[in-house]
Amino acid sequence: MNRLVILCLFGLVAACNAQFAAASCWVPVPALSRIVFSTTQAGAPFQGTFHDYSGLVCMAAGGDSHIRVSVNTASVDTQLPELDTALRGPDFFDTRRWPQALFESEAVRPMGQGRYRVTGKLTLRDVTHEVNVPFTFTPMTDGNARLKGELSLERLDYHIGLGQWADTRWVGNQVELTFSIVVQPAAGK
Amino acid sequence: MHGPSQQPLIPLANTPMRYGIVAQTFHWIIVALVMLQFVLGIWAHALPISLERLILLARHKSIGFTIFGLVVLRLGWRLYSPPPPQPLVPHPVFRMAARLSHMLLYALLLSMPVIGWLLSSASNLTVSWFGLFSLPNLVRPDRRLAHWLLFTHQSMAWLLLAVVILHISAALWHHIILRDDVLLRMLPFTRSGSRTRNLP
Repeated sequence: MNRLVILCLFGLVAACNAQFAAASCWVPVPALSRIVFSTTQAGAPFQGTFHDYSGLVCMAAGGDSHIRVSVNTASVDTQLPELDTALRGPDFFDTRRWPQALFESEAVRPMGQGRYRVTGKLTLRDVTHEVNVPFTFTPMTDGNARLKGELSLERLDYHIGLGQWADTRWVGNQVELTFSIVVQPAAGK
Repeated sequence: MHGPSQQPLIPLANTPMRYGIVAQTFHWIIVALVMLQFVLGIWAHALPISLERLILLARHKSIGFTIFGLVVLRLGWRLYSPPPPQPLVPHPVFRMAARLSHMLLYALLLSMPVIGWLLSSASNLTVSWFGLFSLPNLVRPDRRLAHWLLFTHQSMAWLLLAVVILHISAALWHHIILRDDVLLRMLPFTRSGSRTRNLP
């Protein structure tokens, strides 16, 4: 097992695939992970995070890979309590009606050297779009692994920021979602 | 028609008799911007979180940074072209008060934008100057620090208002009671010298 991990660290795909052939499944460890969204306000960069999410990442050499991540949108944190309240409200995530943002995929394509590309469905509020997310999957020596990647989206495609907030000059439309998620082997999977 | 020996109405640089065009322009542009800052700040503060407030505060921050730059240039100009001497006043205490209140005005005009910049940084809101460039964040986001900085910024605004009222009152006192040209020498379109009571 350890040697396999080390081989993975060196980016030997075959070894990693051998590991995933058993469809190893992983779950996130939020305390060690970060999901950050970056956009602009009044032309200046602006960042926030989501604290609360769960998921299951199963990597297999065959067609069995699947990824499912569910983010509790009420856990949005911009360090501005007033803004967080607005973001939970009806003009943004409307967390009462849609408490979860969801990403689901059964299409994970290895690109070599620990890199993958996942095509899946991202649902924010009641809007679903297909997205392509390149990411890296790096096994770590402690038996966990780190998933890193980023995804660019336009918030208005998902009806995030309605009414006055639809103005894209003052509130950027382009949003970068960056994630660095530590996953640990899922028990009993 | 001015003869070749006659001086233009207002010289570019300060003279012993009056402020020149440059110093007057600095003074009156900063007056207008500071008034605008009060309007934007108070208006934005009264609003709930909204796009309107975001826009007002973005303008407030851009103008605040502009004021800081103008005051720095103005002080540089003051070094290059010293202002007219202080006029005679009934008591040395008034001279002292004038000097202190002018120093306080400059200190507030320079420190309020910096406190505002710190406040924005502590609030996780990076400052952009009219959308053209962003200022670096001075501190990490910190709710308690932001709360304290907001209180400081507001207190300084009221102090500034008090000193401005004192400044205007003093100018009117000079003009109406002492009948010298302290007020006139900072006004465009007026000739000074007719009421001179300057110190030698």
